Order: sequence, then C-alpha cells, then structure tokens
Amino acid sequence: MGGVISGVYLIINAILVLVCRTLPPYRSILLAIAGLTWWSTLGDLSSLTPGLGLLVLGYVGIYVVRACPTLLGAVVCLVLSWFAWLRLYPPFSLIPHPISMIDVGSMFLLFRLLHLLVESAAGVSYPGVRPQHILGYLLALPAFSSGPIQRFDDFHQQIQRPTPPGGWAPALLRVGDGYLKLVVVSALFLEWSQTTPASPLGYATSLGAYTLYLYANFSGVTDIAIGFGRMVGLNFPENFDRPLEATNFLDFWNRWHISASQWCRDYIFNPLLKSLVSYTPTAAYHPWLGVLSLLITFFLMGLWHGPGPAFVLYGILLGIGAAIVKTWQLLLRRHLGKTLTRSLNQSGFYAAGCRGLTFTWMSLCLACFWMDKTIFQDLGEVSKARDWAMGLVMLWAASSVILELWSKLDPLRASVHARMESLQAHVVGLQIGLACRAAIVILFMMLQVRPLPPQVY
Amino acid sequence: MTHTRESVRTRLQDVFRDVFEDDNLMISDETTAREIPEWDSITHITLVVAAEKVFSIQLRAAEVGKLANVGQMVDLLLVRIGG
Repeated sequence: MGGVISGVYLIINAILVLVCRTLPPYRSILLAIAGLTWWSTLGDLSSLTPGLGLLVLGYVGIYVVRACPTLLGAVVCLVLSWFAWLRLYPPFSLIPHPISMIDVGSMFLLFRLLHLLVESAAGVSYPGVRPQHILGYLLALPAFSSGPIQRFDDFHQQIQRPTPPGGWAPALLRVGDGYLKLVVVSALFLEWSQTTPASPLGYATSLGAYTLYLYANFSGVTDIAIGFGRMVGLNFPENFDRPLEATNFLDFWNRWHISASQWCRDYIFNPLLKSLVSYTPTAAYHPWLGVLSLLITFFLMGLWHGPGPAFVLYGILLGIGAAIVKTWQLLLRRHLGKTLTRSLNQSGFYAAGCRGLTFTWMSLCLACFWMDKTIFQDLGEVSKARDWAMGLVMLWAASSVILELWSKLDPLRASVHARMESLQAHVVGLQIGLACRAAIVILFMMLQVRPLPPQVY
Repeated sequence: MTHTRESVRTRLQDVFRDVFEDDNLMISDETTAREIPEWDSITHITLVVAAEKVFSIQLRAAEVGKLANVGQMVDLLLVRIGG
C-alpha cells in the first residue's frame, strides 16, 4: 500500500530528516524533492501526469495573479476545473483521461494552491520568498497526502529559522503514537464496525465504531505528519482537539480536521457571509444569512471529499447539521435570553445530551462513506426503518453517557499523560516508550491480527 | 488625522456595543470570543462589516478569520487606516 503505512514513506521521511538536519538551508527544496519522490512511487508517469499538471498550473497561476490580480477568478476556475477532472467530478469526468489517475494529495494540494492564489492576488508580501519555498510548501512530504493544511506565512517563517536542536523525543513519540493509532486502534474499530448484526444494536455499533475508526485513523496520520514535521523544524498546525467532547456540531468542527475547517471559514464562509451582509442593511437578517452561509460552506466541504451521490449526501447532512445548530442557538437566545441560554448550556445533563447528539449526527454523516445503496431499500421497509431509527436513538443514549464519563476522566488522563511525558523525557524512558509502540505495531502487522486499515485521505 | 491605539479601541468598543446590543460592554486588547458568548462566526463578520463602515476601510475576508482577540483587530485597523 502506498500510504503512510508503507515502508517507502518511512524510508523517504527518514532520509529527509537526516539530510534536512545536515543541510538546513536547503530544507525547502529537500521537502519538495521528498514529496515528488514519494509521489513518483505511487504510479507510472502517465497516471501521475494529471496530478503534476495541477501542481504546475497552480504554481504558474500564483505568479500570474501576482502580476495581474484581476485574473484571480479565471485562474481559480482553471485550477478548480483541473482538480474536478483529476478527481472525476461530473461533467469533467467525461473528458478523456489516462487510466487510473493518481490523485493522492490532490485535495490538500488544492487548498494550499487556492490559499496562495488568493493571498498573492491580494498583494500579500512574504519578504525573502523564493520559488523553492513555494514548492517546498506545496509538496512538503510529511503533510503532503493528508494535511494538516499549514498556511504559507507560517511555513515561510519557520523555514527561514534555523532548525531547533534536539526535540527528537517528543517528535519520535508522536510518530509512534500515530502508527499505533493507525495500524492497531483504527483496525480494531474498523473490524468492529463491519461485523455487527442487522439489528438496532448492530446499527448503533456500526455507526459509532466507524466514527471512532476514522478518528483513530485520521488523527494517527496527523500525528505522523506532525512528528516528522517537527524533526525537520516545521510545526504543522494541530488538526484535532478532543472532538468527541464537543457539545454541538459547530463546536465539533472547531475541533475536528481543524486546519480544513479554518481554511473553509477563511476562504468560503467569511467571504460569502461578508458579501451577503454588506448588501443587506437590515441587521435582523444577518444571523439567517449566517445560517445560509454555513449550509453552503459545509455542503461544499462535503463535496470536496469526492464526486458521487455519497459525497453529495455527506455535504447535505453536514450542511443541515450546521444550519440546525446555528438556528437552535439563535432561537434559544431569542426566546430564553442571554442569561437563561448560558445557564442551559452550562447544565451538565443538557451538555451530555448535546454531546451524544453531536456524535450521533456525525456518525450518521460518515455513514455516507460506508453504506451501500441497499440502505435506501432497507429504509423503504417499515420494520428496517424502525430498526435504524432505534439504532440512532440507542447510539445517542449510549454516546451521551459514555462521552460524559469520558470527559469526567479528563483530569486523570491529563495527569497520566504528564507522568508519561516526564518518564519519557529521559533517554531510557524514551527508548522503552518507543520500543513498546514499535513492538505492538510490528507484532500486530506480523501476526496479522487484523487486516491493515486503508489510510484516510 | 492621527489615530492612536486608544482612539481606535474606543470607536471599536462602540461598534461592539452596537452589534451585541449591550451598552455596558467593555473591551480590552485581551478580550476574546470566550468572554462574549454571542461573539460567534456570524457576529464576527457583522462586527467586521460594521467596523469597515465606521473606519471607512475594506478588510479582506481571509485575514479577518485569523483575528484571535480585540488587540489583533485594533492592530489590523491601525494598519489599514494608517494610524
């Protein structure tokens, strides 16, 4: 497999770290070379050419819009069209293309390119920027395939600073944690989600286990990227902040895939709402324009994940979830007032129920990724539809209780984590910590306790 | 006209009071959305548009998302109005 679980990814990253540590002034170009090298291992030239085309088109576009900002719209349309063709979005999928185009990393490359295009057209200057800095940013291997999505100003500042000495221990442990989550934890949850009976309890288990699989998988990949990033002197932004403790769907997205959420806020939601508000003098309408902007932003974020009805449905469910939460907040504030609304939000029972509801709704959204079309036939039968409804209610009740207990354990987990960190700060503790993680991962892979899970892109 | 940090913050405070409909609202450089529960992603944009009108400037949608507190908002306004 060509993902971050592959030996090739590990070897190229290890070489990258060693060379970057030896030749720090050349980190940008080394990051780009490493990214291209890994990319080239994924397929032959014909299957990689469309992806490279996106890179070249966007890279040239950055210089074009810097020279002529009025061309921003045209360049963005061109880049989006190329991306749509590469990812087989209709109607662009009708255009002939090489067999099995490799599109790994293209989703994140698109976000980085659009960010640079918009900033370049706005005339934002980055003193001392060189072409290799832009290429290094676009292709930085550790975060190339699945993020986090760093902003160029952060990258540029960090790449110009000397690599801080040391810092190996936390970075290595972060990589170890990532592989543990990716290879072991996510595999267990994935299998659990796939081996449940067709009953209300089975549906509830499948929905919940799949969400936990995706969380372990994606946060594991992020840990690996952040760990390798630190080794080359880059601090990629954090992508997760205890999302399961969120008490509403909007709060969830402030804690889950944070770098993508913030990108969508800055480049879709804010411009859209700002335009709508600017043209609407009546302040009373602004909150509802906000609800509309959330609906559109989350729908587009869902669609960004891929073409096809599953992703359209995913986007619709995301948008509905966000719009309902914001509408509920507005109505509560209007009918209960600020003080009562605050009291309600601080009530433990209410917060626990909201936490469970958030987890259940997100699990329902993610079901678009794994359910097949027979679900719609199932829902046509009254008994099956009732079972699904009962499954959702069971998941809500169970997740409300479990996540409330989990959040109560926060102080205990924090103290255990601090204790582990202090132990692993010493050389012996670090070696034991790394050896334990490596042993579990390797044993798990060798014994084939569970098949390796696919990496989430 | 020379704009000082203090004068910008005072005018911005009026914008905050107007948007959040609270005549007693006091802001400082350290004030964040955590201290004003009604300050969410929607009212943030309402604030920005109101500030644009008061200060007769244009702010980019992409840059206002990064503002973490009132102090950063004042900094940005000072840059744009040439204070």
